[in-house]
Amino acid sequence: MADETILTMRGIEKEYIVGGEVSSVLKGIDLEVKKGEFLAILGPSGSGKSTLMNIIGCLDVPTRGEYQLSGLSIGSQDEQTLAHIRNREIGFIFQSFFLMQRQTALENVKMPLIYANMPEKQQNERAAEMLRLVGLEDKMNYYPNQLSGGQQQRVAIARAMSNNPTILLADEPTGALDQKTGRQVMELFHQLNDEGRTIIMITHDVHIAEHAKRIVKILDGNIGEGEVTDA
Amino acid sequence: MLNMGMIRQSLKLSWQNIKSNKMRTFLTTLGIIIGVTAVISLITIVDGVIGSVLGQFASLGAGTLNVSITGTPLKRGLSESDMAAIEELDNVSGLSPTISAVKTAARKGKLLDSVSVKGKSASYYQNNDLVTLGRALTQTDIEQEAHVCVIDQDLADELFLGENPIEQTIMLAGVSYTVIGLEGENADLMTSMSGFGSSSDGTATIPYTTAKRLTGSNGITSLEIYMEDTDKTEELTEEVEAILNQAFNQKENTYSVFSMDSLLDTMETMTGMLTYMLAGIASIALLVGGIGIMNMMLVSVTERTKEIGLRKAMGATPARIQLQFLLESVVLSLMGGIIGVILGLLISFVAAMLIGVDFVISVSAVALGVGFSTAVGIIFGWAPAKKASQLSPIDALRSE
Repeated sequence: MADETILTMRGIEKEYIVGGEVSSVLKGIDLEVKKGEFLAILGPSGSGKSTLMNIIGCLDVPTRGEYQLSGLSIGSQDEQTLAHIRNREIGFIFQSFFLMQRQTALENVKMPLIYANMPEKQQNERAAEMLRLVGLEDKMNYYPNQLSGGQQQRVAIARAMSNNPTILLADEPTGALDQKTGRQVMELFHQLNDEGRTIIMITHDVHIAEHAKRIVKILDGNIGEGEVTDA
Repeated sequence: MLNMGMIRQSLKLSWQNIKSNKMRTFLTTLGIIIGVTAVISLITIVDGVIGSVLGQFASLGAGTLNVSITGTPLKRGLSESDMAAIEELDNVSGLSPTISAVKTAARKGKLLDSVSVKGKSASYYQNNDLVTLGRALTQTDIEQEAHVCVIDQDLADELFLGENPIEQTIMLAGVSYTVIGLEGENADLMTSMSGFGSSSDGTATIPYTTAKRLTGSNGITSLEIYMEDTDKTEELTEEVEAILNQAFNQKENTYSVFSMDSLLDTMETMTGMLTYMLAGIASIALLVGGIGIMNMMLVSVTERTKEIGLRKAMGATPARIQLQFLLESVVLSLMGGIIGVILGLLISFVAAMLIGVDFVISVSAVALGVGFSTAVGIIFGWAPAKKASQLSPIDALRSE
């Protein structure tokens, strides 16, 4: 089971039409991710890594190529099905946390559960459990502006995990944090990975990428594995 | 696809949002509040006024058929036998012919030029509770063509200032009459409406048989028929018309039969139309309020683009996003609607007290106010909610 492939990409291409001209952002990406992996996708800005993240996260569909996530073929799905897939399969962690400022930590963590139509009592139990897991059991009823940056990112991580997704997808998760809190967040990632969670992290920072067990580099819309060099 | 849990969750989110923008919520709802307040208070006040007016009409003239005769050159009015035929009809409880004339009145050297003298029957007083002092005309007075009269307050003031007029004698057109009763302020509505007898010197009512002799008239041109069963107005009208038809040689335009009930029906239809017209005008305010809501919702969608993106990333389907924004708009306008209903009822209560009419809560007006504001919320919230639901999650997330 440990070798079970949960994500397969074959010849993924993404083109945008900008000012009447076709601009090719991804030029044939092949990628496989197995269950329990901790993968970093490393690339400078403009390399297409955000577009790749959007496609992995089912926020966008590729122009060409085949993308399979947990045995489902993405790409031919409508927005409603994609929403259900995101809800079940992907836990998003954003650079700027994206917490609802008018909701408590607990309410923020409940958001994916609301869209999973979980009964409210269960939502509360599950969200509280997630906040315990990230070490914020005493901050459940705090609002984001009462929390430090590191704590806010932990709330976001708890939210990403709450519906028990197949993949935790983190976009520059330490980008808005200082080095020390950034390291703490990385330690949390290690801990979650040790518990068996699959993590895909997108970053331009080679030091952060080095926390991952495997690194793929993306440059000009092409992907390559191997020696780690600074992007 | 939708269930109660979803709606409850979406309502909760909508409420959180409405609560967190109190000032804006208030200003946005103000349009709806004003619109609904206007609709409710206009309808309630107009209903109250119309109800009071119609009530007065009904109390004065319900159950009465009014016959007026223009007659033919050969036969100017109804004969005693025509009247007898009408009186024998099933549903008739009494008749009161009216003979009107303007004559002089005098007492103790005081002379009044234009006193309205009316001939009436005993039934008239049985069906209209008018006499406040003394007694009314009786059947015996009618049969004996007695020289007695019931005078109204105006005439009493002119001739008997400060004195009790009962059993006193006055001269009408040079003939002496005994005053037997005094009528209160409650003037004969039909008479005053038709413009007769509104003479400033007052009115004296005498037996119609006596009046016939006094005026030399050879027929009755105005007759009130009192009904036993007011539900059978139309049947009685037809029966009376049949008799009149015969009496006037099949010449239909020589008489007219008219009932207060049909007048009331007409008035109710007209006032109903008036009410709807007013409500229509007031709902322009609701329309403006709805546009305000739509504007605010569009602003809200733009402001919360990032939130929408986040929710979509977390698994919100387009339908869920649409539901959330639509509910927000409905909650907003419904809140305005409920406040408007309360304000409208308060205003119309105060207005009813000031005007002095009945305050009746019109259930249909309340339902209209609540229903209309909900409809406004749905109609004007639809486009912004649709717009929110169609945002691309990537663009929305990127809108930092």
